[in-house]
Amino acid sequence: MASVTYDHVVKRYTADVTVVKDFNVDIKDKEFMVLVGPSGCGKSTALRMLAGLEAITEGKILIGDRVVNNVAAKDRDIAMVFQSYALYPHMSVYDNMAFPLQMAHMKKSEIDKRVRNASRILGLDNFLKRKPRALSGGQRQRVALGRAIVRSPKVFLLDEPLSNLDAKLRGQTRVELQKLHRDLQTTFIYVTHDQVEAMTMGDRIAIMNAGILQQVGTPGEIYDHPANLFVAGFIGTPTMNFIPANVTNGSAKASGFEVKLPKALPAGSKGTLGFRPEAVTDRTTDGGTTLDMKVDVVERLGSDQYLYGSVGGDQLTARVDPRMAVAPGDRVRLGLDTRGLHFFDGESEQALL
Amino acid sequence: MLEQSNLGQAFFNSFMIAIPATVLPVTIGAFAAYAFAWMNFPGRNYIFLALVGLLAVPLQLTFIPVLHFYVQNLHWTTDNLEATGIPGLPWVPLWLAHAGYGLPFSIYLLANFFRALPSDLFESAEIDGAGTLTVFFRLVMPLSVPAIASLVIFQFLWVWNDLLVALIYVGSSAEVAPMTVNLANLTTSLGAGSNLLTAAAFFSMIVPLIVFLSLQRYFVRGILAGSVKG
Amino acid sequence: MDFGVLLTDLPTLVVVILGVPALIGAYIVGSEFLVRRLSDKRRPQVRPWFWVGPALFLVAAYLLLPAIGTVFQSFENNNGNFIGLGNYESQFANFPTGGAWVAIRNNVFFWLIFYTLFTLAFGLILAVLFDRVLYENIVKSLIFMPMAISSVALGVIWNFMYQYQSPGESQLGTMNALVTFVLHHDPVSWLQDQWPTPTFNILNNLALIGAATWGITGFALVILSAALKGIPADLLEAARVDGAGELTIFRRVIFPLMMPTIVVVGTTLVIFALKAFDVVYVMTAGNYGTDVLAYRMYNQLYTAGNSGGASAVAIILLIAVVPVLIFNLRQFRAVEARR
Repeated sequence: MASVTYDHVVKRYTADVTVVKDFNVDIKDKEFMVLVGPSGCGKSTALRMLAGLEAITEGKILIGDRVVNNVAAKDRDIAMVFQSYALYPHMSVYDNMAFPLQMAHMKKSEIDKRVRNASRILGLDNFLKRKPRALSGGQRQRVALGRAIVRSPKVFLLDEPLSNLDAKLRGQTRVELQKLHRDLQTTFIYVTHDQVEAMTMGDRIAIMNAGILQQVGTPGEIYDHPANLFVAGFIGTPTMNFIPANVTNGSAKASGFEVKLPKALPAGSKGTLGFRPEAVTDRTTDGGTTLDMKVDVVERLGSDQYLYGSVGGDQLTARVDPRMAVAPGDRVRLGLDTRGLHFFDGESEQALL
Repeated sequence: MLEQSNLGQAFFNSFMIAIPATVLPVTIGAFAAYAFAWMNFPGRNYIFLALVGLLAVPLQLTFIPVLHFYVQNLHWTTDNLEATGIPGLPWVPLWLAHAGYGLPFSIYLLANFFRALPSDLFESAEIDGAGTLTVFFRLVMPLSVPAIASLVIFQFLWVWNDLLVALIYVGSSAEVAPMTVNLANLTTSLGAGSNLLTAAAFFSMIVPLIVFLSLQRYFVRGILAGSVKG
Repeated sequence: MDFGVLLTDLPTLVVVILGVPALIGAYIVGSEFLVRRLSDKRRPQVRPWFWVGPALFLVAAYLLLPAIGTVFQSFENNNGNFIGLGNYESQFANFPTGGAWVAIRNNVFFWLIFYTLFTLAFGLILAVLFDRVLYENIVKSLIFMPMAISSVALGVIWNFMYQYQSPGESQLGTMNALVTFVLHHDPVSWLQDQWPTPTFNILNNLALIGAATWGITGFALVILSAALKGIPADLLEAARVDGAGELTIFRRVIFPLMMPTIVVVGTTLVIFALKAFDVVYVMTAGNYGTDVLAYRMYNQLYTAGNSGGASAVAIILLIAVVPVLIFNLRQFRAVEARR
């Protein structure tokens, strides 16, 4: 049980290939922290530096109060679950879980106790003698977790552990992992490219892009107050509507509509107006902003109905009542809820609103 | 007639030659291949490329200087080595030569196989606290059984069936010469058609066939992973 | 039969079987023990050299340095005096039947072309046919078996096949039995007859090459059929759906996809062809215009006691291999670049 601190961490392969740039995060003890970002954003590298699998070019990484830059992976008191699970194919489930303990020269009776305990937690009791190839994907994934659990490490590192599971199993395992985190009372650091996993599991989320940390916050903060255009676009499905707009007299003017901004912005600012699909509904209010949308595609999901179409010259998505009758080609009047309005600077792409 | 032919002695000699001459290049090659696949050292890629180049060099090119060095500098002639009375010693020059000749292929095949093992396994073992020896003996070796088995077949067949290298380094004296030399002598001295020749040919074939049939299920997997990948 | 020696000498064999691996194991464990005493920083710098050291030493001692030594020796006479190109002059004397010319012709012409082509063609045809046969593995093992026996034993077997009795006598050799019984032709002296002319004696060379091909086809078959198995079934099905016939599929889909493997097998076979020795040694001893470079080198060294000449022959062999060597390195680099 320990906190983890990234202090101005840089990872550079060659002079002009820097995969992690000035990375600063404080991860609290017992926190479930998710590192999320598109592939190649440096999130895995950040995790692997913490694991001791990659050297740290600049800066410091601390586990608890200890700087671990020059500590060997095995001495960092961490455990890692790999995307491929990295199970030893020639060893039984039992031996796979016992291996790290044997390496630590633990007594046989203690090893046995710990392995049986982990297998009970994970429901692997009936598979201990099997080889990994005789297990299903979900079972393999649990063996990988078991191999991490037996060591009772201070920090759990998980590198996209669910991406090899099918959609249904992924949903179940998401829930199980959260339960496991609660039971083990340990710091979890979880890397994923899937924003749904990030939103549902993380106590806090750190979003990375192109080696740069974009924002750290709780799922709610990040969803409601994205720090910049990238975060706003990365989190949420369907993605946020982005409309080019100019600010004049406290309102933003787009090609097809004009909306009063809840907060004053310097006149003449150019940038991108952002609002999530759920801010565009079939409920119009008096004096509220209305949008005149030409519908191109209608997507009925049962609980929701999404309309894809254009307002003026801009494409946007709206989430409307599933009972509303619309067909492609229709023109509909929709209301825009200005409480969920964002405005991103045209130059810096930072959120001004 | 069979007694004169030293068939039993030659059969024994073939084992004395083939077993160490298989073990040496396979094990030493495995160490080197592991280093080429998973360790970093300066010049690694160039040395590996040189080994690939040596695969095509005819062995005939090396016989004279090696023989010269054996006889002139080390005094390792079969007679001298037998005179020491140490059993097994007369074959040492041949073992080492077979090891040297077998190593480029051994390293090439195994390094390609080792490199194809998933790196996650090695990283996981590193986090688990396994040292280099543990990783090599408990992870790499068990996972490479197909490659090792097919290499053992190749090397054993090559050494057991070899005529030229044995003729050059230990000659055809009955105490040290293997089956192939014995058999070749029979062919040239007695002419074809004798019963002895058939018997000798049968005995020379039976061992490689047993080795081949018992290990062949690994064979295709092994050579494929090594040589025809990508 | 003196198999008694097997029992009396058995302890030696056991000691060797256990001792050699024990020695090697002790080496690597011992070196790791030393490496662990180094500092964290030095360890990864030193360790690889312990692991590659013995291999590099043996390869240098038995391949690299001797090969370089041979190059020098080919310019010296038997007393170690420099004689320039003298050895080469005598090897290249009296074209087309003197010096090394017969061996060169046989190696770089007959063996290189026919041995490689026959083996590749048989291997490929058998691989495609066996792909559709029941008990595929058993059939393939049968074809592979000749690979397991020595070329010497192979020579013995094919000597029987090529046996010759005078016309009118009953023919014991399989080939001549066929020739006389089926074709009603006089028996042929396969290995001795320099048909059609002594300067272009293709018949007895092909007889030797045929025997060698029989021994190696299994090797080509196993690798080629594995490559064939590696072609995704979807691709063949897609071609069938597109309306291609089986022959077209082979020509336009299977063959191009197998090309990389065919190239690998082909270059290996070229090297085998250039290094051919055992079959010639056992079946004709290089007589009747069937000499090859490797055998000539051996002969020069042991029968003629001419180490300079032998070195020169070895260098000629090396020069013949160089194009393959360069090709191999290029292929390897190309494959590495794709990794």
